[in-house]
Order: sequence, then C-alpha cells, then structure tokens
Amino acid sequence: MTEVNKFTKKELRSLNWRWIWHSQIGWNYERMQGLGYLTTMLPAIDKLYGDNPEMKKKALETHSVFFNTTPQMGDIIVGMDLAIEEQDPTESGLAVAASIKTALMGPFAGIGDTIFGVITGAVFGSIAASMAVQGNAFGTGIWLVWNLLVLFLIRPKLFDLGYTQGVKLVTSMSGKMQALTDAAGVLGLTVTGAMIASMVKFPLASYKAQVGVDQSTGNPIVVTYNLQSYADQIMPKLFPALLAWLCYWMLGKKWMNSNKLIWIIIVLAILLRVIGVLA
Amino acid sequence: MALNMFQIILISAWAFWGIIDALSYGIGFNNCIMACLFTGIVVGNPSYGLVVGGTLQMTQLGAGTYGGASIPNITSSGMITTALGAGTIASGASISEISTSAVTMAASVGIALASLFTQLDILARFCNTFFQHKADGCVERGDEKGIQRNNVLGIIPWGLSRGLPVFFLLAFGQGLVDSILGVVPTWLLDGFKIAGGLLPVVGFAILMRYLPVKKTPQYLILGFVLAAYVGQLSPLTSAVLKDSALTTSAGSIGLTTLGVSLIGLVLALSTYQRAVKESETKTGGNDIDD
Repeated sequence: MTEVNKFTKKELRSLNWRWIWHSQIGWNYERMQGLGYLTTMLPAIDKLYGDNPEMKKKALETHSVFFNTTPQMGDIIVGMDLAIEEQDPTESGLAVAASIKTALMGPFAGIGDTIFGVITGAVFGSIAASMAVQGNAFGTGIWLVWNLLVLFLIRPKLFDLGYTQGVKLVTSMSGKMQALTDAAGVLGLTVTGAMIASMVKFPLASYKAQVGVDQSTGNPIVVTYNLQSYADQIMPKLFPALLAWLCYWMLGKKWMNSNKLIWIIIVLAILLRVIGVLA
Repeated sequence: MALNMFQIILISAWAFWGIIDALSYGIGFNNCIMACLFTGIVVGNPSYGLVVGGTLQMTQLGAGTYGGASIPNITSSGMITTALGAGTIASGASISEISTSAVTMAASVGIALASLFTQLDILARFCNTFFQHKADGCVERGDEKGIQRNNVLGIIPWGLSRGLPVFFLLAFGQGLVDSILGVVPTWLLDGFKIAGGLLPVVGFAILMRYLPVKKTPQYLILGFVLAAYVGQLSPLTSAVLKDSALTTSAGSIGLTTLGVSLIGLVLALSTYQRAVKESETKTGGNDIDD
C-alpha cells in the first residue's frame, strides 16, 4: 500500500459527481446501472491500477457486472468501494469490493426506494399536487428545494459516510436506518390519510321527487333527497374512504396493477355519472 | 390557437432533458407538475398547466421505477395535454372554466397518453442494451474513452423516448384534439370530469401498498380524521370544481396540507427517537450477554 494511491478530496468529490451523472443514463435491461458504475470508476481504475495492465483489465471486467440500487444509496456503495480498493489495490481487494457491491445493492434499494421514492412522493407529491390543482405552485417549489437539498447536501454526505466508515457503517447504521424507515412510514401514513379525505372527490347527487299534490293549492309537493348530506351524517368523506380501501385491496391482487386500476376508476366514474349517482 | 415552432421545440427540449435529469441530478425537470407548469408558461396559460400537472401527479404518488419497472409517463402526457388543452381555451376564460377543462383533459387525454408512453420507456431501456454490448467490446480492448462514450450515448434513446412524442403531438395534435372534442358527447366529458376528481384515489392506494398500513394503521386513520372532521383541507379545490356539496363551512378552519404534514412530522420524530433508543438498548443487552 503506497501513499501515492490515496485519493485527494477533490478526486473523491469528482468521483461522487461522476456516479450522480453516469449511474443511470446508460441504464439497460441487461446490466441496469452496471455500465454507469463502470464508467463512474474509470478515473479510479486508472489511478489505482494504471501501471499494471493486467490488474486494470481485471478491474474493468469486475466493475462491468450487473448493478442496480437506489441512486442515492449508490453514493454510499461507491464510497465504500473506493475506500476498499484504495486500501488494497490488489486482486483480493477487488474481489472484496465486488462482493460488497453485490451484497448491498438489494437491501440498500429496499431502504432507499422507501425513503427517496415512496415517502418523498407521499409527502412532497401530495403537498405539491393538492396546491397545484388550486393553481398554486408553492408546493412544487417546496419539492424543488427538497430535490436540491438531496443533490447538494444529502448525496455528498452519503458518499462521505460510505468512504470514511466503510463496511462497518452497515452494522452501525442498520438500527438508525430502520428507525428512519419507521418514522418515514408514520409521516407517509398521516399525510396519505389526510389526502384521502381532502383530495378524493366523490360528489353524490341530489334528487327532486314529487311525493304528492297540495290539496288546497294544487301545487306538487317536491322533496329533495340530498344523498351527500345523508352520507355525511354517517361519516364525512365516507365514500372516499371506502373507495381508497377498495383500491388498496384490489392492488394487492395478482391480477391487478395501477394502470388497470386507473381505467377501472375512469369507467366507474363515467357510469356513476350517467346513472346519476354522482354529479 | 396553433403553437409556433419555437414553442414546440422549447417544450420538446424540456421533455428530452427532463428524463435525463431524472436519471441523474434529479432536480425536478421531469417532475410532472413542474414540466406542466413550464409548458403552461410557454403557451401562455400557467394555471392550466398546474391543474393538469396536479391532477396527473395524484394518480402516481410515490410510484417510482423501482428495480427498473416502467410506470405510466404522466410527465410527457401532461406536457402534451397542457399545450393542446390550453389551445382549446378561449382567452379570458374564468379560473373555474380553465380548471374544469384541465381536469377533464387530464383524466381523458392525459391518462390515455401516459399509459401509451409506457411502451416508449421500455423501448428506450431496450435500445440501451446495444450500447452495453458496444461497451463490452471496449472493456475487452481496454478502451476507457469508448466505455464512457457508450454510457453517455444512452442519453439518445432516453431523451428521444420523451422528446419525440411530445414534438410530434404538439406539431400535429391540435387539430386532432379539436375534432375529438367536437364529437365527444357532454355526458362523456362530464364523466371524465368526475373521473378527474376520483383518480387521486389510485395514487393514494399505490402509496398505501408501500406504506406500513398493516403495522401502524392508526396514523392513516389520524390523518384522515384530521382532514375529514377537523378541517376541510382544500376548500378552494372544491370551489374550483364546483362541488358545492363538498364545500362545507368547516372549510374556514383550513387545516392545510402543510399543517397535517407538520403534525405527521411531529409523530415521525417521536417514532424515530423511540426506535433509536430501542435499538440501542437491544445492542446494549447483547453486550451484557457477552
């Protein structure tokens, strides 16, 4: 191990940005982010194995394999990989790096997709969308700020964590990561519950029916049945809640997917409008 | 009102770059609402873009391309819907007219195009295997420049899968939309408008599938109750959609979306602190066992 091989701060930062840019632009069904990972590592490979053509070829092949995870979690993995290969730029170090990559991409994607995909979508998406349908762009602005925070603060931080803590991060982090996922779930559920009540519009119609004729004047007696107010007396937003539960249940079935569900809802809406239940 | 070439190119370029940004920096150019708002600004009707974007966004909350899955492309379809839909609106239309048209168009044209475009996403991901094989050849030869070039070339299938459909539909779609709108009966348009109000339920159902509904349903119920009983979350939306039955007097209490999110944040923080403490005592217990 020689000091010459040590990456400078600047080089590390640049490798992190390489991952952010290259990771998915060459995404394909065969290796997914594999080509992006290899491209990210090129300067590191040059630096570590530049004077050894055989090792260099070996490194290029090692990093060509299938890879796929949440891009933000990939920051951690690339950081760890660089630390491992820098410490032991030999065949065995390369083998350790390769197995760490493969071992972590799945579990990391599970956590990362929940935090950076689902919860972000639930919280920022709901706020942005509910304001947008009122013609207000403020919620979308909040989402934009979050995206910038992720890009300029969280992702560099994750990369540094991976590089400095290395593999021991996995054990020290697992408790905190689980706590973070639990907490994010609580936030997501609260917002989703509120959104079901406020954003799903199930406007029941009202009917006018003639129930008889006023004997003294001869005018018809008309009664208005306001379906919405009857439903509200049971529980406000009763039908949005039932419909959400029904859709949730259907999405759990093997024969259902979100695309089919969208079309079912559209057909249902048109039918209910035509028979006059919704207005 | 036909779009001019400058507008069409500007919107198509945004769509092209949007997907590239989503794959890399993730700043938000591919965000459905942001892309629709931009389109709305370019065609001179930002409100139309916001309503289309918001309506479509709610069908896909929390849905992502996890593990390389393809999902309906509401961004490209939303941009097209905004540009063509705004073209059917007479200048000087009221906010509620704009909103009704935007919701109806999003639930019909927007949803239809979004599911259609899923195929283009699959095609782009498939095309990139070609560059993967070229890059494999470069690995054999130790040609690092070639590896990087073939990775970056992936931008072309990705960007074109968004930019091209937007370009063609903006260039040639206005007449089509106008003539379709001319023959579609009112009952169907009304049905689509109702559908626009119902569709968010799909987004929430997708979210519930990913969230720990079975483990901690109490938070889902709490959020619902806060919004349904304590305060009407978005009285304005109801007013805009003319759902007079839904615009209750409770609307003035006005617990906003942001407000409920903050309550959720409070609960999330205490959950986090409790969970961290629990995991610490657990590891502490192990130490004693040793």
